[in-house]
Amino acid sequence: MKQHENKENNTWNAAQASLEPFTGNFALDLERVRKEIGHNSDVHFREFQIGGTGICAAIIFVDGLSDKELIDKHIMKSLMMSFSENHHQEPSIVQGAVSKEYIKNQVLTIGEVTEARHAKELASKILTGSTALLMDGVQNALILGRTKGKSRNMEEPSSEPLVRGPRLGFTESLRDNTALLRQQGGNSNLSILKFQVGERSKKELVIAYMKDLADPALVEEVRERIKKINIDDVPESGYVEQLIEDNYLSPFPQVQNTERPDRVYSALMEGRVAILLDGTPFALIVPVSLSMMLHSPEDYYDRWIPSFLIRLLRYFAAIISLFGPSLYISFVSFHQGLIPTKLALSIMGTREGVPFPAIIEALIMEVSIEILREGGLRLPRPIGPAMGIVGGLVIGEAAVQAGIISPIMVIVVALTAISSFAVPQYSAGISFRMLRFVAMFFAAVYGLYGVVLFFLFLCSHLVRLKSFGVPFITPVVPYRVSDWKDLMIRMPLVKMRRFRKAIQKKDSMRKG
Amino acid sequence: MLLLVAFMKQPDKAAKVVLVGVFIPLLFYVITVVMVIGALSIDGVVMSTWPTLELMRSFEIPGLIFERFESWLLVIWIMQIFTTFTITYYAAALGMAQLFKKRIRPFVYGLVPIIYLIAMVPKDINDLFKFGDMVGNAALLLFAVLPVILLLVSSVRGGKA
Amino acid sequence: MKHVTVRNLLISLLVLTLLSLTGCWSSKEIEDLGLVVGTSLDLDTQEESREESAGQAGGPPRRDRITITNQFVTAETTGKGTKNASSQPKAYNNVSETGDAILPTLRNMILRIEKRAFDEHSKVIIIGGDLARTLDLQKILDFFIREQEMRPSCLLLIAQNRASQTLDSKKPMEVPAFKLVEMTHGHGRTTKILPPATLTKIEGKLHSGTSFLLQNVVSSANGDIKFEGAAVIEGKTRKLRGFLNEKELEGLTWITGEGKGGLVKSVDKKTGEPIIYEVLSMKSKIKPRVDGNNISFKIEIESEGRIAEHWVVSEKTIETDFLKRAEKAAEEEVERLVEHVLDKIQHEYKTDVAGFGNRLRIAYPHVWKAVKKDWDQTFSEVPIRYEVNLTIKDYGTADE
Repeated sequence: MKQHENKENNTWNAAQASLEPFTGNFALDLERVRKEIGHNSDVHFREFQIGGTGICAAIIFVDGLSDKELIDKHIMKSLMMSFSENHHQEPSIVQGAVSKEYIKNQVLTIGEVTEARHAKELASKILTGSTALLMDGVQNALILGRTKGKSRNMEEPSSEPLVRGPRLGFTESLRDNTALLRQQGGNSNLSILKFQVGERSKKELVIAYMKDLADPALVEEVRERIKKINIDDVPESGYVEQLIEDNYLSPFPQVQNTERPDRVYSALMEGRVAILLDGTPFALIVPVSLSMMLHSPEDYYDRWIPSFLIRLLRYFAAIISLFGPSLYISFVSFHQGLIPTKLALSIMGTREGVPFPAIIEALIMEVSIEILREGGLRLPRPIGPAMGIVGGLVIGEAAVQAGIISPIMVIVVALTAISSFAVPQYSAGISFRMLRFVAMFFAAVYGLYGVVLFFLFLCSHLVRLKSFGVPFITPVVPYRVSDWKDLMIRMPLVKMRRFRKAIQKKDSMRKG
Repeated sequence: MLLLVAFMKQPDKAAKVVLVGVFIPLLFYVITVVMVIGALSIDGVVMSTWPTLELMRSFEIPGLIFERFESWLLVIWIMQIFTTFTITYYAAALGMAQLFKKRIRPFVYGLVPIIYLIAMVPKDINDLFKFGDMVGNAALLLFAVLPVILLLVSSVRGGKA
Repeated sequence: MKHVTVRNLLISLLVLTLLSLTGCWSSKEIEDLGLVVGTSLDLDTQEESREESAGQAGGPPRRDRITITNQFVTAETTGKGTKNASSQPKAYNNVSETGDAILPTLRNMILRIEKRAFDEHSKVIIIGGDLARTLDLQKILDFFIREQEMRPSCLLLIAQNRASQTLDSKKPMEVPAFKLVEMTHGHGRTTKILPPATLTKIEGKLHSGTSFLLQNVVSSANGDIKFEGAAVIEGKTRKLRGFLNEKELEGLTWITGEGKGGLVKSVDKKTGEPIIYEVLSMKSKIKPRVDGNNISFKIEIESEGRIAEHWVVSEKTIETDFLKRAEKAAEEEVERLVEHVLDKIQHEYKTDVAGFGNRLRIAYPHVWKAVKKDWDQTFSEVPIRYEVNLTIKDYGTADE
């Protein structure tokens, strides 16, 4: 009968009970917590008595998620073993009770101690990896330590490998990542602000910037946008990126993502703001410009002459990856007069018997290259390269042999494909690849004129595009010739100690 | 040029900017004229309808991927036309909008058919050339004579200085 | 938000209509083209066709009929022969058609070839001697100058015999039009080839009524072609006046100073053995002089070169005396060439093909205005002096 009543009580009071403050009654409180999370089999309730006093206590933790060492050495040991040795003289203990302050201040050898006032709060903390301590006679539960979490070792970032430069990459652990950032340079101006994102599952998010370099308006803008994020769950920083970007219709990414702490740090030193999310190695950098997409940290690590040339080469590759096939199409189907006679003849010769017009031919090849790329990505590691070779051989060689595709088209397509991977930012490479198809259609309809038209469209879009209030193609438009030293070319470091002004307003000399 | 000055951030620098802006195309045009006459001779220039294009067409640089350049010239030309067109078009729409104190959008779209119709007025290429000359002269009238008259009017009326 | 969508819709609609308006208007796949790489123009020789057109009662007055031969290079002829290597086809495809105006005749070729004729790669136009003699060049070339597809960089040659023969070759892989163009590059190494005459250059000359030279090409019966001298086009009539042979052309090149390299074969006075002088640089100045009504010219020719070969075994090139003698001999040889050609163009052809008039125009514009009208006639009576100054700079790797 009583049980029944209790149950009834439970149902109508379920929500409220979890929000009710703890009473200090150990059994009751524990029962509440149990109700809140009791059905989770991985949550352990360890009840014990505080060393020699007979006061009931319990620690609650998630198996595997919380720090076992902390529990064993710092909680259990100090509360059970050491307590009976050192603290039995303590007046409050003698009185048969235990003081929260005393435990907190003198017993527990743990850095992080917070309190939770009701079961719901406590439950969420426990489930994210903290350890909770409930004691008889103490009203609030103590939350000790934090998630140990599972994290991997720091490895070289696999999406942005460099020949020269630090081999350290971000990991999935936010704390490690912020530590990496701090480690980059002893700069007391590095500010790290904490946010929580996600409606249902909370996730920690951090924005980092240089207090003295970043434009306060920019930081404010980033904060605003992050606060506006309203989504159930944020599994990866890509979500954040999409939710805070300026124009979701644009083919260009307006936020840069990177796994490299050095890249983030140098962006911070330019007055940009970095956004790091717990659980992903990809940090976001805002604002970005088109030129940043084509820069690599290596540009600055190597001497200026090779970097200069490599950067030019990269711009060239970007242009090829954007316009390669479309130029070929317009030459072959519209402006045969523009190419040298001998070349025209050899193209004619190789295209003899090819049943498709150039545009269809190019589409077939481009699409199959994209399929190869996508397929290759999904293939299990061991057979990946083999299938790639087979695919390339089959598509390229056999198609030419069968007379469906002309060999020159294979060259053009292969060159464009390789070029698009010369863009250091993978996401920027993708946008170039997408736009390539558009350019091809324009070329097929209008020839070179169409390519120009497309280029003009693209330019007008780029000019309008902004990333966090900063024009996307700074410093080309609005033009700032002094910044062109680090745009398509890279001048010697001695010559460019200045920052990009669009980002940074306070202090324009690089210190050092 | 004159229109843009009104919208500049630092109008005091306008004179310099305008001079530079006029000087660069001037330089290019002079170079073009010298090159064209030098390459085609005066008799050749007189004979052809589009001497500059003719010059570009007669170029041939063997050994490059592109031997000829006239389409590239046209490419650059299209871009140039596009930029000048957008600026003047916007200026026209803006001017109308300010004149009638309306929003600019209807004017931006409304000008499209008007410009199309005007473009259809010249019947053949000779008409077109005549039309072009007329527009040039009209520009002279509008931008050289009219401002002077307006200046006189304002000084006679004794405006706010 | 709604506003933006509407605008985006409008924009995409505009783009779509734009696409459908003019879509694919001039798209033509490269393999469907027949590249015209050379064109030859001849006077029609077939009498019966001439009578046929004359016989049409009430038709237009009889005109000279022109036979046009286009040299096509198509995907089939360039096909690398991978598919049927056994039967090697010719590298080109000549199509001829006869008519009394250029374009209608060219269009009639559609009836004979399935490919679309494409003129932008046209390299050379060869005009038969007969045709050039009977028809005004301006009339013949009008289409080629007017046509947009036609390149102004196209070369112009005159064929002494049938022009169509120069576009024939016995060798299977050879395209005669390309061969002709490449042969004109020899201009840099011999004085016997004129600098390439493109349509652009000819256009101005035709318009201003100056006389000029065109490279002459001769085809022999066995299908070989050879550059041989130059054709003289008279400025006033714009017709072929005559030919200069190789020697005369050499002399003319010395007068204009347009040569870049070449040889002078002189004879050593003492031994009678040949000494070959190779031109390294060539410069000439034509100086007009006007005294009252008398116009005269002085040509100063300067050249630096080396001894490339000599058969005078007894002498050593290391000795300055011998070098002086060799210089002298070469100078005399050049003077002989110049004198010979001056005599020919002044007195036989009476045409100023070496640009004397132009020099006069620059130096004495007023005089030029007066004599411009009948310049070729005036030119034939003008006294011309010349001075040749050659310098031998070195003698190669043997000092014998």
